[in-house]
Amino acid sequence: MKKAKIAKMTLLAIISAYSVISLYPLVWVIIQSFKTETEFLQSIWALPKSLNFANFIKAWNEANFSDYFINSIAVTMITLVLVLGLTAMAAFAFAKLNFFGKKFFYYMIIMNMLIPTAIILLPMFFLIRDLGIRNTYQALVFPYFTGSVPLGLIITTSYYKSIPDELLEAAKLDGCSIFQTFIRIMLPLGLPIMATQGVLAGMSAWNEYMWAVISIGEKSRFTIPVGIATLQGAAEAHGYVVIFAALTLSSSVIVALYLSSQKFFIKSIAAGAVKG
Amino acid sequence: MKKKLIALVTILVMLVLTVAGCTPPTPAQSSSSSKPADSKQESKSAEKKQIKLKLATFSTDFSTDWVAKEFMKLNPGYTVEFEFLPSANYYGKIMTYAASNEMPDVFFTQSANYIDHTKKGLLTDLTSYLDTPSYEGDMKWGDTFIPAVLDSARSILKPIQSELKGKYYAMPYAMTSVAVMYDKKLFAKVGIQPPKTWAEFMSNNEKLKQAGYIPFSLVTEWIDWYPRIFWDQYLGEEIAKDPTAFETGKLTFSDKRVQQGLLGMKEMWDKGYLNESGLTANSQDVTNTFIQRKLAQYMLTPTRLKYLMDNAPKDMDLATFVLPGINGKPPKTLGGSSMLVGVSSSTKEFEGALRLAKFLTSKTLYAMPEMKYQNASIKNVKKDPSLDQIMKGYADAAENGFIPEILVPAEITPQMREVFMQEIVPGLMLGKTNVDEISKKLQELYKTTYLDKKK
Amino acid sequence: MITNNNSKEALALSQVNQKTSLIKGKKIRKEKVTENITGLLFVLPTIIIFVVFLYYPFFNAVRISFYDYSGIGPLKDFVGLANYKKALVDPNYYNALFNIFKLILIDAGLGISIGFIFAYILYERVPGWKFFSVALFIPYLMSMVVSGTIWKMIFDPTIGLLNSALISIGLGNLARPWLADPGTAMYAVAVTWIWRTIPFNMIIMYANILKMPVDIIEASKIDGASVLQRLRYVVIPYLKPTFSVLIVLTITHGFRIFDTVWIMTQGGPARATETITTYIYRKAFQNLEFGYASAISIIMMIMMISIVVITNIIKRKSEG
Repeated sequence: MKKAKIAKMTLLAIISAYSVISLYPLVWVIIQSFKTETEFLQSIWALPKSLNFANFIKAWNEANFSDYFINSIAVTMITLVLVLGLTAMAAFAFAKLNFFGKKFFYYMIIMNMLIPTAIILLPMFFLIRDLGIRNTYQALVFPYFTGSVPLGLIITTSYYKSIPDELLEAAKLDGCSIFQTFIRIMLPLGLPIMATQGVLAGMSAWNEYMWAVISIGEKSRFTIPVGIATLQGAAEAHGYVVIFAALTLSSSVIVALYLSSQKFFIKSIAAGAVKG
Repeated sequence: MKKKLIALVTILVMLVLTVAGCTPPTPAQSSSSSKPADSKQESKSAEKKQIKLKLATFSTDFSTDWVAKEFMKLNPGYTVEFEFLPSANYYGKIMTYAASNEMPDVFFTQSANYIDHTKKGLLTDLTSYLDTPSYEGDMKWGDTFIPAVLDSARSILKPIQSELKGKYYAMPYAMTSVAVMYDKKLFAKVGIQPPKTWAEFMSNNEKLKQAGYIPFSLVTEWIDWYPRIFWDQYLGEEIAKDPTAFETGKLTFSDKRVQQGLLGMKEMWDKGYLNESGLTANSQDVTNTFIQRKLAQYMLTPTRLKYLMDNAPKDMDLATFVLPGINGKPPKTLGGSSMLVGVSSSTKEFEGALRLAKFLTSKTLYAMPEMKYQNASIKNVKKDPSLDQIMKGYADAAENGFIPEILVPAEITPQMREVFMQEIVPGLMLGKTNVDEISKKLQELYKTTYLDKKK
Repeated sequence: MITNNNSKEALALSQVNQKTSLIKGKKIRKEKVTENITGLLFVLPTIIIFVVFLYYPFFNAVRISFYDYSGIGPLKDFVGLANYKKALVDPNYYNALFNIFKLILIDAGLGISIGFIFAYILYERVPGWKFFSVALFIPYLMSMVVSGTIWKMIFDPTIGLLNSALISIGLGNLARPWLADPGTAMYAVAVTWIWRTIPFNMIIMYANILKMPVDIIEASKIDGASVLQRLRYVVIPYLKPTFSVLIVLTITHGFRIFDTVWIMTQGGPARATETITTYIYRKAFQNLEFGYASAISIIMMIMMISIVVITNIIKRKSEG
């Protein structure tokens, strides 16, 4: 028994040490955002002498963050609605239905994990130009959609596969059509995995910047990562500490989203037990 | 049941599709996309005097939109949409604007990109407008510029000069020069003076190193600075006499003096005079090192001065000097017209755009406090005397004239530039390659990527 | 079919049976049609978006790879396979490939095993496991801009944390310019990279360990197996499929590394951290060689597909 306790304490020590390495960089960013520029330049590792929120206010006002926040939230929300809705439908079909070309379509979607983003940037730019959707939310939403669906589809499909077929049979006996089965049974059962996928897809839509920098031509349509990239290029006008404040603000949104759904997070992955 | 189901699903799918709007372009959509243009024209004819312009820049002098605001304040009737992008993203963005025919009416450009923008026909030929009045209207626009800066602007187009014969497709916005920044107090502590000769400079470096400082700065995005400065010392006069020496084969990359330029930098590196982080550190990292008094001398352009002056500790006494010539010749400086303002060839508001371009090269602009540390490309701009100490090095550097953008053509094509910056200079510093290999490689690239393409 | 019995009843029975099976067959066929249509309709919206916003641009990229193209204007300089030929003899391409393999090996080795260790520690219910299981995932949510910026400052030779720490514990001779030394640069980038992948690997494995039937663990406990034995004979074999999925994800993810490298080293020093994506980006958006950049990406894609297929074959063989 004693031995077991020692073992557990050793494990605790290991994981605590790792937590420090893992979380310190984040704490560091937060610390910088409270410093003055001079404090930051004189030592990047020291603590601020006093807490000042001026950087946050500066980031919010000077860097137009209020506009960018609205854009980022809109883009992320629309992406999430599309990704979650359509992935659930597709995953259900791939997990529980037999239809023509099933394997082909599945791999067609998963394949995106193998296409390097850098190379479709230019053809994609020509596409949104020709469709006349430059500077609209669609121009960001659809590429984010294709980016997020593959991993989401893998985890959601295996989650749906883990739901016993008997449930479907029972629904069928009750006279439910396939569509009704999906709406009444699969969708509610799939909520936890949707929460998980929501965090993953939300994170990548919220953080994406390369496509956004290239494709958005109107300042009023910038998203937060574009704003941060612009701030970084102009660090010397705004100050580095303002950038850290902006990074803190931006990260806190996604962390909040995660914390609010973390209850489902592990459980839903566990239920699906990603198996490929 | 089945019918109902199919109907339902179809409706759902159509709903998703319409919400998503992901159908290929239909007439309806393309007409909706052309709408804003129509309404723009309508509003134009309605208000008539409102001139809408777009300005794009990479210069950190304009990292906030103050310049657009000032211009609008001084010029009622103008609306300027302003966009600043750091240069890492700037040129990719300009390309997308060009591809979608949305070029900003006025935009900044620079060295190789200036050549590219000119070649692609994105810029208006401004040569004949040099005779029109300047922004203030007191003299001809062309006469306001410092002649040396104008020369330097013209020399950038040298690789394609045969077609363009000394034309101006963009005007120099500032007179850039490069000087060495140092802290007088630190120099006094170590017991050294700003160097007058290369030997003094090197002995200073040794003393600084012994005293525990990193003597001199190396910044990855400016890694080609030292070879270019040294080449001017060894080969500047000769190439000035015979600008096509490399093309005709009179000079080759195997020339001793080409190699000497590279070895000069190698010597500083091997002796430990440059920050060893320099092969990957950017100017921001190096600024931190300097402010923390770990780096003793920092070579930089005036564009970054304001930040340094605003944030340096009060007990630093900053001053600048010119880097002495390695070959004993009067030291010329890099820079010149390294930032240029051009007018888009597709602008619909040419007169307005020209006015904005003139404003960006005017005394009025340079009188503004934000421009305190920038060196003007135009004559008769008085600097605050209290800045003399810090600006002296820059003024002295410009005095001797500018090193042409292309001297030894090691970076004449984008491919050569990539190899030079990514492989050759770092490889030489790290001992992965030697000057003979480098000469061979450059000569081969010069032939395949430049001479052969020219034919 | 029913074996014959000449009695009327049997005949009648068989007829009835035949009839019902006919009805059943019709019903099944009808169901199958419905299932086919519904299935297709369910995936159709996703497929349409993929065709328009991924495959259409992608095939354009394939087309561009046969041209000499600088990004503006129509495609006109057709060069056939020249870009591909050039890529296949480009030493920088192989160097980039080598760097990527280094990264993937480190990520697959360290990233997955460290992730596994912490997943197991969580499973052992150490005090505070709830906190750890939530908090340790957070780094994965950070943008690579954040992780790259921070780690770059940690690795800075003069003002960085790592060297100061080494000096203060008397290991000053180990201090070096981590990112500017070609011998260590790729490893420094890899550390930054796995800082973000460990949480992902950990959470996936933790979720899978939770699914492990309790009885097999209990049985091994009763048998008196030590922690290590339990890991070796029970947990790891159970997680084999998860490991192989994570390896595939590690490969596809690693091949696409960009932001982290770009922020930390831009591929330097002397291309020591050049990866295929940074090389593609450099060629495309800095040198405006879009044709060549596209050819490189397509070769890279073909390689990734073959690697993933091979891994799957190996996986199947080892399972079967």
